[in-house]
Amino acid sequence: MGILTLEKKALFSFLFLSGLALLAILFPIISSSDPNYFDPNLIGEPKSPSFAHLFGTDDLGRDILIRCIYGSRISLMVGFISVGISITIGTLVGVVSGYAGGVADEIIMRIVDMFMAIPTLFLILTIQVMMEPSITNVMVVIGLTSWMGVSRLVRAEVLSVKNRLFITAAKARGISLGPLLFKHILPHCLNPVIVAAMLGMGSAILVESVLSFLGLGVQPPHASWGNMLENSLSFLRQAPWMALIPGVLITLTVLALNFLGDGIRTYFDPRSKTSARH
Amino acid sequence: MASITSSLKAGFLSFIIMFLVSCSSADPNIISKTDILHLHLGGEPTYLNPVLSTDSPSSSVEGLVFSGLFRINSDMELEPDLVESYDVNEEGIHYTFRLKRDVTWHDGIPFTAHDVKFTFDVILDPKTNTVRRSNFVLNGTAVQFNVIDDYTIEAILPQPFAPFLIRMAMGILPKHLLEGEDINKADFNRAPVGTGPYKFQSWQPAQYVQLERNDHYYMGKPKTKLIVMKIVPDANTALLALEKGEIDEAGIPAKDFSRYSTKPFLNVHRYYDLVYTYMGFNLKHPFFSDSKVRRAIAHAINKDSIVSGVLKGFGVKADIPASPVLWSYPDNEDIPKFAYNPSFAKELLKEAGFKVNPKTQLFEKDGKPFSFKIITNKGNKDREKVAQIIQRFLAEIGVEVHIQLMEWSSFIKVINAKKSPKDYDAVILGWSLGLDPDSYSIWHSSQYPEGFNFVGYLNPEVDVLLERGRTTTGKEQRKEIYKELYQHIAQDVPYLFLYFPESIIGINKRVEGLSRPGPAGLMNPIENVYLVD
Repeated sequence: MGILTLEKKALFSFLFLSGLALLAILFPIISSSDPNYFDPNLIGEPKSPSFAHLFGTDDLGRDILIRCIYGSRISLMVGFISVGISITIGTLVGVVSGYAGGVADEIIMRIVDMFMAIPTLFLILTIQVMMEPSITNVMVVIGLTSWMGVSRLVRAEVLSVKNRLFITAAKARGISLGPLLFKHILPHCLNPVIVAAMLGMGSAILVESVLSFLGLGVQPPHASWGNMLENSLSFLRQAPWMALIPGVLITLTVLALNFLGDGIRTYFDPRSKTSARH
Repeated sequence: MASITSSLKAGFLSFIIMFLVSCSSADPNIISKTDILHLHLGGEPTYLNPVLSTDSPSSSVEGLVFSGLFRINSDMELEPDLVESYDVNEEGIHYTFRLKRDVTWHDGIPFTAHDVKFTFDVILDPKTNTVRRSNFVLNGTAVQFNVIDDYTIEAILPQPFAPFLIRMAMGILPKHLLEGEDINKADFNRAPVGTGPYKFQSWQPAQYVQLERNDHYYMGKPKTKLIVMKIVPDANTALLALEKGEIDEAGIPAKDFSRYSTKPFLNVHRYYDLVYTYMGFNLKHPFFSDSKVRRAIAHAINKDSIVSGVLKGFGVKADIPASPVLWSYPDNEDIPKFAYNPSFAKELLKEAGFKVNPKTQLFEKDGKPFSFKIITNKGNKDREKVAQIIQRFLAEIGVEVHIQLMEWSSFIKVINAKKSPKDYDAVILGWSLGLDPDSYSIWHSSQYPEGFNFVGYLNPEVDVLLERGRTTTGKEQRKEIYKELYQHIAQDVPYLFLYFPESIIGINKRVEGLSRPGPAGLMNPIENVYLVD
């Protein structure tokens, strides 16, 4: 059921995400349009999509297309950096815990449980309210509070890999601990990490949107999909495109990341039919 | 099966019969649609106690439940409420109030002068968590209230105090219910008993506050039987509720005016409110301590664009902290206006010692770029927009602005910090003017760093004028004093005054008996308001 469609979905998702990423990276280089520019003496009503402004303009007269592109920079950056942090910590903790085993493993896993009990969104909300809201805080806090799942996955893989024959062989050759963990064990645990990274990016982008929507993420006038959505709230009936466009972008991006993650998982899953390639 | 159906039928029939019976008998307890007025509360009330509360949802409820010695009518004038008549001696420091004799509390106990004394004693008690104490303390000495007899009370002031009678519009509390209680924690604050036109019935948190008319109200029985004040914090939701007829009044955003003004079931009223929006400079900031810099910024910002862009024209620009709808507004126009003139703004900055950095195109002084941060409270869309417009205007002349939206409580913490200098560069805020022009608490240098003068404004001439203004009693003399005061303040630009917004209120056409639209509200007095089908 659906292997082919899943592959197709994953392919389209990959194309969509690469396109988005390319646009986000290249646009500021090829175009000098300022996403925050408007003429303060000519503030009118939001304008509906037209040739001059493909996605229309917002209530201050700013171009929504350009703001969406700049918003994608924020979303993708939050996705990459926070997932980078969480993957790094999660992998390290998982490898150490899985390989050490015994009491150390027990203690580390209980600490992981403790972290899992922290409601991430509320922690971020508290930090953003107490400190000056900044996108760096958002990325760091998402990273620091979402590594536990990764560490569990990696630990489980390490537990199964560490008793395999090639590891025993490597040990017999007197390899030191560092290379053993990171050259021999870790590469065998990466598949679930890649999948977790994809899904993690999706949820990080959502958290950023939620924070910006609540006014605790990116500060005006800078654009993020979340704060564009928030700004559109009171114009829902008058200018629905102000809400629709960033909303659709958030949905598509998160969906694409999930499809891609699913696709990769299926591809690597030894129990799926394609496992012959593995 | 058959028996169930038949018994159901029988039940249904008896229900219909009961219904018919109850309809035919003219039972006075049956509530019809025209008996319930649905009002809107923009948030959850805190304390239903006029001494403790500081938020507008609470005071909307208190205004109907409690009454003071005086009240403010729709012409923005003070008129007697609980007071029958009063005298004041020539020096203006000895007031004698004779109270109405036929007034009872909602629980039936007669109202007397002891209740009045009790209320002001509670306010003056340092253990009470109230911000209203300073209204009754002048130069460190409290106003003294003495009961002469059950229906006469005198007030002895340490010095003449022009806004005193307005302060006496404060809601009076029942002594018999609160004496000996800790007022800060009393159950009374959630189930108040007053002398006003409506009796408190129930408060369902996050849903509504329900009031029932006071049949024995001394100013005449209110025409509407019940008032349900629905708690709807979100403005968009409130508008939907207004459309569906779930509430009878709601504020309408300027941009939606044309859409709602043509709805057949709505009357839309517009009037100027007493609230002005401003940008306040931290006068201890190294750049903003120079009034030339503040004037330069004033010249760089086109207030007309803000009024048209943010308020869609539903408002007027402000130049002084006084409302055009109040008597204290100065007549003639010799107040500095700071016309929009960006090139002159640049000139002023150069005069103040700033140079343009050719690399960044920003002004800088002593190697420090002119870049500052505006903070404002989150959730106020208009202020957020104003901040972004100011940012654009200042970018045009080469001044960089950052914006930070803050949670209300942390925002208040920053501007109320009991230290000098405070941790901000500029704020965008609103201020609600009272009926009296006395603005000692905002501009007097003694009100910094503790007090409402959080920008740290210090002008000895202004201090003197403020003191004279509140101790002079003649209206015309006071008007002259305040005119001079406003000239000084406008010249010094401690705030950049931005605009007075218009209030736009939509009211369902079934509501009748409204007063003339004005800052005192449309339902003033409430006892005249009634509903039609």
